Amino acid sequence: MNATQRQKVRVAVVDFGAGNVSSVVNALRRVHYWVDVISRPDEIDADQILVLPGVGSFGGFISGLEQRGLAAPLLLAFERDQPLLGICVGMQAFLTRSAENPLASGLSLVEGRVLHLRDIGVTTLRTPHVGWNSVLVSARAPQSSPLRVLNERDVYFMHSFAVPDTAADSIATTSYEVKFSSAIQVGNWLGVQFHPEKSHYAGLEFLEAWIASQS
Amino acid sequence: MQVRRFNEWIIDEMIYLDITSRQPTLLDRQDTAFSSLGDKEALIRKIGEECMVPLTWGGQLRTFSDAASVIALGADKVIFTSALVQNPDAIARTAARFGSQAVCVGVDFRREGRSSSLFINGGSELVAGSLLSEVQRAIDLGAGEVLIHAIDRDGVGCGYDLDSLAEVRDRVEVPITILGGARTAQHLVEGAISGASALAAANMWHFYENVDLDVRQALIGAGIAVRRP
Repeated sequence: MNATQRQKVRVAVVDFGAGNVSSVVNALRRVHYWVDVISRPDEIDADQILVLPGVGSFGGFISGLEQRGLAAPLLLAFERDQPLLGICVGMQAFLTRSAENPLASGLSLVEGRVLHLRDIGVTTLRTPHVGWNSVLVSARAPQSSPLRVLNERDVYFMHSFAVPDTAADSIATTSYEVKFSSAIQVGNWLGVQFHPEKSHYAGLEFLEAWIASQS
Repeated sequence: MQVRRFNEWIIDEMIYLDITSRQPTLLDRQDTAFSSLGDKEALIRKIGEECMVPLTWGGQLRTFSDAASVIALGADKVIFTSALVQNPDAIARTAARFGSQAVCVGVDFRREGRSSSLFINGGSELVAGSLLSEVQRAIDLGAGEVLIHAIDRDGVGCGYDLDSLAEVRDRVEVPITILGGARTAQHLVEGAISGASALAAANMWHFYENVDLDVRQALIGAGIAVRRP
């Protein structure tokens, strides 16, 4: 797809109803023309590339998705290889369980459990992990992964819980006293623990690279 | 407008504190440069749209609903100050809904000898408690960050109150931001070396040139890791 064709790609940001998607929408609009916000199952089309931003708690996020009837259509989107970028709790939701809300069930696309940073081994540094940090792309990440534009640049993290770096589908890690997974790739879904929409130019370039890689 | 200028600088976060007292927020200040904006909601939304780094909004946040509105308008985090005393439940509810990482609590204080006097409502009302006890109470309510603000140093340019930082630094687990008194890059270096998680300043950023470059150079020179843009 050339740049002109890429302009017509429809990016759809899923609003799960309990947080601020405007930062994500604003950042996407800086790098791409066509950005919609959707909140109903009937608004998910096979030709969109989806962004799933998550803030707040794992349980609150899953509950928001379920209340809006979005969980099932998102899983269908996964089955047909529809691209999706999950951000922060949006990435954590790829897993089955989170220690944050033990009774909630994630989308179960990735084996593993989201843990509190203290239980991953952060004992001397402060939590939540709030601030700028770097992303080390693993060897098993695709060569064309948009994460590679973040080489030697920092992005913004804002979380207390994280996916351990032992997760099967982890393709990037970040060190905060210990390593945790800062990105996972499963099928055509990429999850990132950091917030590209809060990460200044590095974040914008990542979003642009992600859109380009999916089109 | 200010936020566009700061987008072009290599700063890490922005904090907007509405310190208007007892009247509606003045929207036609020169530095807002948006006298055509109808209301405060429009202002927050506009700043949220423009700001390319994390945006923390506070001042006048008295209830959970105030905080939720501000987040819906585009703020990434909120900062509660007087609410710690006047409506602590707002802090707990906001943290429960949006996560501790979205909630910062600010404590205004004035150091007196070896202890501090704490204030709310723009420094007009003295409240009980020590800096440490109030910071701990904020964390127990769910704050993921605290900001300790030496109001006696605002605008003075004498450097941060590092003694007060030392009182709380090793006793709390959350990131601590310090504010009040910074005027030179060296002040920020001292704040970083003294263990502050984040260094906030106001006047320094508004009224001097090339501050971001000087600050980065000084921090890097002192061996402190700074963001690589």
